[in-house]
Amino acid sequence: MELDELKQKWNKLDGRLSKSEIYSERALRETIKTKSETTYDYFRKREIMYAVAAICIAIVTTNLWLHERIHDTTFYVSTSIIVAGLFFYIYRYIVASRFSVNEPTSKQLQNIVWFHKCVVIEYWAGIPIAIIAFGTLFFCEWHCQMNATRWFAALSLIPIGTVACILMWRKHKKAINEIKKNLAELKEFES
Amino acid sequence: MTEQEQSFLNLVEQHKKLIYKVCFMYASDDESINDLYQEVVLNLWKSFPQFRGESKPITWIYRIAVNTCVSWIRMSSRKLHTVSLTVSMTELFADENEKENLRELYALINQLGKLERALILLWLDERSYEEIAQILDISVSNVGVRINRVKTKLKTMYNI
Repeated sequence: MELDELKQKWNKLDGRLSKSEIYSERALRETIKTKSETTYDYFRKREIMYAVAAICIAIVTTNLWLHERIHDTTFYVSTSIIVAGLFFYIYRYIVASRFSVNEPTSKQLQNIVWFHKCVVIEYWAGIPIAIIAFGTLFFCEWHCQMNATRWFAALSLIPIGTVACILMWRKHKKAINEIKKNLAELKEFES
Repeated sequence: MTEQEQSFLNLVEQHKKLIYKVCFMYASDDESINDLYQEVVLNLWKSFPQFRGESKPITWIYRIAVNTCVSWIRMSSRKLHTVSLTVSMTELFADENEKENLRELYALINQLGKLERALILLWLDERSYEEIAQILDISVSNVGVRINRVKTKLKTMYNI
């Protein structure tokens, strides 16, 4: 197939589309009336929800600590993790807010690279943080009063965690590959 | 229906073919084209109040559509209320031969990068270099260089 052939095929598609309705006016009207949230809006809303959830967990943890229901170490570790998470969500919200369809295409692609980087960081930082959180809870709160149920709960978390890590890794591998492709294309485009 | 809604619907109605072609470049099946089409329409609708007519409507639509498609991340977990496109790819090309042509076209397009797809789309749609430069926000001379690079890449792909 040569370039002319490609153009012919494209023109054929164009001709067919001219004869088709594609999207009825009713469907168009329904789209703008029923859907008010774009993917970008969804990202921004999601980050706000995560930040609110982190604040709620921080309040609960502080409350438990003030009532001496949890150890000091658990409180300090969990609070540090929550604060770090909160900063991360705020940063990701800022990155998501930079998305604008009115911007130049290369800028748009750059924003996607940043957003994907956040997703990758989340994965690489998320696993050690989850292990630290679980370890702290296990050693500070449970290790003195371990019974069969708690041992079972603790042990069952290992395969669940492993499966979750594998699934996350597969998901993030796609994101990493896309970042690499986007970066390569941006470099080529700017050169 | 408000006046703004009506003028927006008229504008999209006039350029629905253009939107479909941009979506076609970036999506791989009917379902993806449908989702992407709606995302583009929604982004156009959200940006419509800011559109002051400084550029031609066609340039504005191309820019929003290309930008939406370039950064489109399919949210498989998101269950949205979807409104189906009236036409499907299968209906569009009922003939087996034509379907095969379409598959070949897809196979080629899928090998191109996101920005390359935007360039080749605008070239196939016979947009002027000035318009392409405006849509992608690059210099006119740059457009020529980039289009030639994509053409060379396509030619190499044909020969493999």
